[in-house]
Amino acid sequence: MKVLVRHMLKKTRSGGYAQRDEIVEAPSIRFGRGADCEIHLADPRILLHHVEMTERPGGLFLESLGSIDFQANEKLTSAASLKPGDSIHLGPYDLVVLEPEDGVDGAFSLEYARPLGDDLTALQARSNVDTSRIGIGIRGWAWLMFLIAVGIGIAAPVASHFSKTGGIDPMASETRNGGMETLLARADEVWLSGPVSGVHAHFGGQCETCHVNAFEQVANTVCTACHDDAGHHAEPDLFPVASLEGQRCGSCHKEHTDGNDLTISGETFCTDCHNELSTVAADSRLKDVGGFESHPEFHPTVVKSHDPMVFERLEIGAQPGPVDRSNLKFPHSKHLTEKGMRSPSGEGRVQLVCGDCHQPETGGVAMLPVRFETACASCHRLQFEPSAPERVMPHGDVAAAKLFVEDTYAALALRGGFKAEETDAPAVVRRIVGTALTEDQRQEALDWADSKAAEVLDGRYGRGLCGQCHEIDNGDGLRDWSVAPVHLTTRWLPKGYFTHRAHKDRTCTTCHAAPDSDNSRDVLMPSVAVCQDCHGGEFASGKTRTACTDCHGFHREDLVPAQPSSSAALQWE
Amino acid sequence: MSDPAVHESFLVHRGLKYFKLALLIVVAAVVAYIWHRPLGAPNGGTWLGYTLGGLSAAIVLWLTWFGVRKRQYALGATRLKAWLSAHVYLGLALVVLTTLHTGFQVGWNIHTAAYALVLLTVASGIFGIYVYARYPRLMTANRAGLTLNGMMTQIAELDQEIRESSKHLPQEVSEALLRAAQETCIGGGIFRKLSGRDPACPTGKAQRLMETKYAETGIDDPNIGKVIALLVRKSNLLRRARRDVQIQAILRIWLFFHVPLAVGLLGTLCAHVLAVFFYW
Repeated sequence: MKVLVRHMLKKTRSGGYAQRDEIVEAPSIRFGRGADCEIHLADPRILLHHVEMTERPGGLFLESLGSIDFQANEKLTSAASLKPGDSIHLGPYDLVVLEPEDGVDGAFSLEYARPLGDDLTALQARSNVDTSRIGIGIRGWAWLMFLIAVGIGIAAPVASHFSKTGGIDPMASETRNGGMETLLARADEVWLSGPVSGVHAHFGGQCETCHVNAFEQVANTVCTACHDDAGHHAEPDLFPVASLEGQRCGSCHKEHTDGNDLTISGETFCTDCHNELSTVAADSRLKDVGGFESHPEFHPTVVKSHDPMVFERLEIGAQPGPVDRSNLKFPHSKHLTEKGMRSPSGEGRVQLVCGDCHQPETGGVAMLPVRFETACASCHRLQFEPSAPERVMPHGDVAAAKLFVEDTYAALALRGGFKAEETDAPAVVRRIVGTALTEDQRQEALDWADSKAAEVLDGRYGRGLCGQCHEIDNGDGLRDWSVAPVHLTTRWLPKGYFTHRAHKDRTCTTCHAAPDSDNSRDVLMPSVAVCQDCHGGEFASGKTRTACTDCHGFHREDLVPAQPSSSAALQWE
Repeated sequence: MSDPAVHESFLVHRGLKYFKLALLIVVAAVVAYIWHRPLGAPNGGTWLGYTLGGLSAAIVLWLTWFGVRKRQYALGATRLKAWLSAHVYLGLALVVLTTLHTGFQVGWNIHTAAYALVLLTVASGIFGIYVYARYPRLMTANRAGLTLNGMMTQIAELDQEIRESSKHLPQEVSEALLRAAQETCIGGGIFRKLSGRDPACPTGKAQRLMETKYAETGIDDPNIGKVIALLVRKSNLLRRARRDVQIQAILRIWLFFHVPLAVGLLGTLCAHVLAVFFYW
């Protein structure tokens, strides 16, 4: 179809219109705001596709394309046939059907009769439909966030760092008490990546204590300023693979991670090497261990010889078993016999228990050394003269004991009145007490005392009495004997920690087979299997989880410090 | 227009290519995290921690670059869709990567602030996906071919008609109608926009006034019926216009979180990385 569109443009002063004619040719003519419409109506009140004009037998036909009706001759409708003279309102547009001219199928005029008015302008002015701003635009908010982040996260902490002096003394009281409390001084605490470990918490807020220079890792000298005795893990010359030289303390001791423990307790840290130690240290004589389940048998350190003093490590459970040469004779079985021991008072029998002799030290870790005076003396009284039971030899010093015996008989002889069962005592000794002696009689009495003392000391109540419990060194002649020095072991396993306190609720015999030991040379350390009854490795189930570090330390106290001390490194020293 | 990719959602772009890529990264990270036995507790300072952190930081920078890329119109809409698809899935993967990077250690510090901003930015992005899946359809349905400007134009026209038809109505009514014409507005503050309603709308008040007033007395003047009908039409248009503003605001508001949070994250990330190496 082909139609003539007469655009009625601006009204002239005389009331007429400026006109522009346009020929539109299309199968159908659509009116709308859309760019693809044949007749483009730009007003926003018009739909993209508003109405469509088609040619039908009998003339032109107008039909609504959307949900909005149009007015044809003042009547709302959604479809209408058009004949010349009809007036159509399409929103703000007025359309009047004209008589078709030659060569076209139809003609109409089109006028933009009701342009957007003041009401619209006013409504738009009152309304706020702009969604591109909430106070300020997105960009503004973004800048604000960025500046806050950079201000709090970078500018303030950096300023804080440079306002302070590094390498301060962590033990100084002003540091411990929190030191500078100004906001700027504490601004770098936002950089704290995790809680300061418990042991370092007392200078926690002072980052510069350890972080002395920017962009430098914490130096070992900062650590060794306090911790200057952490030994090597193995002899660095023999086992360079385990040497800690050139290592950073912080590589293993991680500060600012969760938890308060700065030391590594993970089993794999040890078993990485010790599971198959020969692969990293071929010369090592240590046995492989892959966790507590596979812990090798204990090898307690025992005395091999006393002169010179030599120790050896012998395996528990080996045949023959390890022998400890303490120079004491002490059959545990005899003392712990179920019959009990004869009471020192002579009335009945007493049943001894371990605790009668073995008492824990105050911390409960180890046992106090067994002392004669507290543990033995109540039964083993060092009496030697039946007629003078109040005379008790001192313990612990053989020379003093010998002197005491000699003095005792000298005093008895000089005083008189000595009544021995034996009748060979001279008369000067058995005289009435208080009788004065002549010089010759004195000499006779002292000669007797001397020989009596020698007899006792070399006999049952001297050498024999000491020899009940002690090894005796035979001297060159009579009375020259002495008691062999006693070596009581305080630590069977010097490279391991053990605390009795944690085990105090078990009976002693759970681990120590003392009632069956009839020789003090027996090493009453339990086998590792006894420990393994209750303890498993770090990941054990059904047993107490026990990591290597529960018993062993990494830094050996007996070796030289792994890191040089930094006495001169920090300016406060 | 014949390219089927144009109508394909960015979520299923190219057979979920970027979803699979993100999934691969996440699974690899989780497996590595479980396998890794660091000295002490897992944290951002182990080799895996640095790897996860570096990867996360690179992804954050790339995701932020989307703000630039989406304005480079000359590079094509289809490839932009690929970017958006990757943006969404890598952004989601970031939740897992950064969580593993933290080693589940959090505190009141710049490092956790960066982590929290990652989570918040991703959360606002997820809300954005939801919004873009739901509201454009509702907006089209609500507009029914009209623009907001078109609705406002019709409202202004109705005001004109109401004014013409209400010249001889009682004082009380014409005052209400005048206020309805002069004080009714659409939108307003952000909460008013988001609510999509105006409980104190003068047009609604005028409508209610006339409906109550003439329900008792009955309508004798044909103009009154006409005015009420016009008010009903205006109210309906106002409702649609406010709904349109509401939808536009919802479609936009998540960006007021997503973009500033992302840019804040960028700053915090710089601080986080600086802090790690400053106090090494």
